[in-house]
Amino acid sequence: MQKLKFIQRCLNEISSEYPQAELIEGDRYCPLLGVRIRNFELPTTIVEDTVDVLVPMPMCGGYFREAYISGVHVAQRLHVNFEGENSPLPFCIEATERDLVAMKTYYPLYRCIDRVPERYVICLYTETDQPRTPLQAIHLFSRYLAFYLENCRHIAAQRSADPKWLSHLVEGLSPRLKADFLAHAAR
Amino acid sequence: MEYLDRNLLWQSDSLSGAIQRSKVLIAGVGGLGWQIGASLVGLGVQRFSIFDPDPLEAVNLNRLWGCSLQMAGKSKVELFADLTKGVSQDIQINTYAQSIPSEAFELELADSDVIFGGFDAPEPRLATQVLAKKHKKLYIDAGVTIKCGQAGLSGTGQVFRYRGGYDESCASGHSQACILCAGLGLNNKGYLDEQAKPLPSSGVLNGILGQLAVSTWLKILQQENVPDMLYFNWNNFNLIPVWSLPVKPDCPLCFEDAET
Repeated sequence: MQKLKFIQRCLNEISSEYPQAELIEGDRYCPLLGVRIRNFELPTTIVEDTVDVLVPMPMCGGYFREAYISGVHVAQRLHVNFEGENSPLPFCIEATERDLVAMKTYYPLYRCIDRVPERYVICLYTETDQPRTPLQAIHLFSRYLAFYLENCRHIAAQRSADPKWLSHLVEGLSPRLKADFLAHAAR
Repeated sequence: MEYLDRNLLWQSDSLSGAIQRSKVLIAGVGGLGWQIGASLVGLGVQRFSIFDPDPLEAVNLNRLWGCSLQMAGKSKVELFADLTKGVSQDIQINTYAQSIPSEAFELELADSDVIFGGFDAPEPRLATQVLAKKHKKLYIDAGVTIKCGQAGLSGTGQVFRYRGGYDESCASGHSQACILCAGLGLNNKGYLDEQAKPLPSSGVLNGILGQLAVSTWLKILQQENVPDMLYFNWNNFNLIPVWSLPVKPDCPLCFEDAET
């Protein structure tokens, strides 16, 4: 079930910045499954120019901080040019059907995954630091893409105490860059 | 109704009348809801509606007294209704083997005086709370946690009382805090992701929290103050009342209350 007033507020927020956003409608108790923004312009730090972005809307359970809130969906793996190499963007993960179905408790969109052609998810959030509205998720997504290249080493150094997070951060890099990155983070 | 005679030795006329006039919805008749329902039948409630989508499994028998292996596979709500009818044929009970929310659930909720929740998943719990607020109904929710692999009685539980516009005091806004505002999270069992099954369970802890939930309702019927939440630690027997839970300003379920 969705909290209608809150969903309406979220939708108003998104519409104010993205008036062309497409609504993916649901049923009586979950009327808005998600919003899709066509031709979302990506920052120059990303190899791809534009993508369609799909943002799932939460059910009530999706507001739990530990609910492993979903990220923003895109249809393809995104890439960054990292020191001369086109590398897959970290945290841009291809979600399996099983991954998505596991999240259907929190996101009604995943009850009908045939309506989710965008199977790559960019999930950036920690349990305690999550966007409170879908628009915040879009903003975080944009900031992440824009600043990843210039800030990733600094971020890694800050987060070096969390090996799981760090391993995600370097998962798409070539072995050489990965070793270089980890060495930098460990300093 | 001879089965209620001993109740009349301690219940006032007004209390027994209030109990027998009340229509009660029980959302979830697993370990907690079953205990709550059995107590309510014994107290004299005459009108029920109960919801639970699951059939009985053998692993439920450590906490669903009255059931047997031969009943495995049958709907829990139908089994509960059969046992209830065994106490008194006069008790009205509407059963729904379906998930929450649904149109039938909302209709029954709107027609009930109090809703008891005993869930093992977060979404129906929060959905019930949202609907209780929409229809201004009293919602009493119980949940328990037992830590896996811990020695002793490593369990906790809480009874959460959500007034949903039930009485005058909620107009002030300060006591409308919801489960999210209360800081309960998925690490509180009963709030866990359903993917995390199987989970440890105990009819003993369920019984304690179930009786606290029912006792909370009895005190409300007697116009007594009750805390917004009761927290129970099974290991040291501490029972901590939380009298007033504030609404969190950024709570997505309560934000309009916080703004007013």
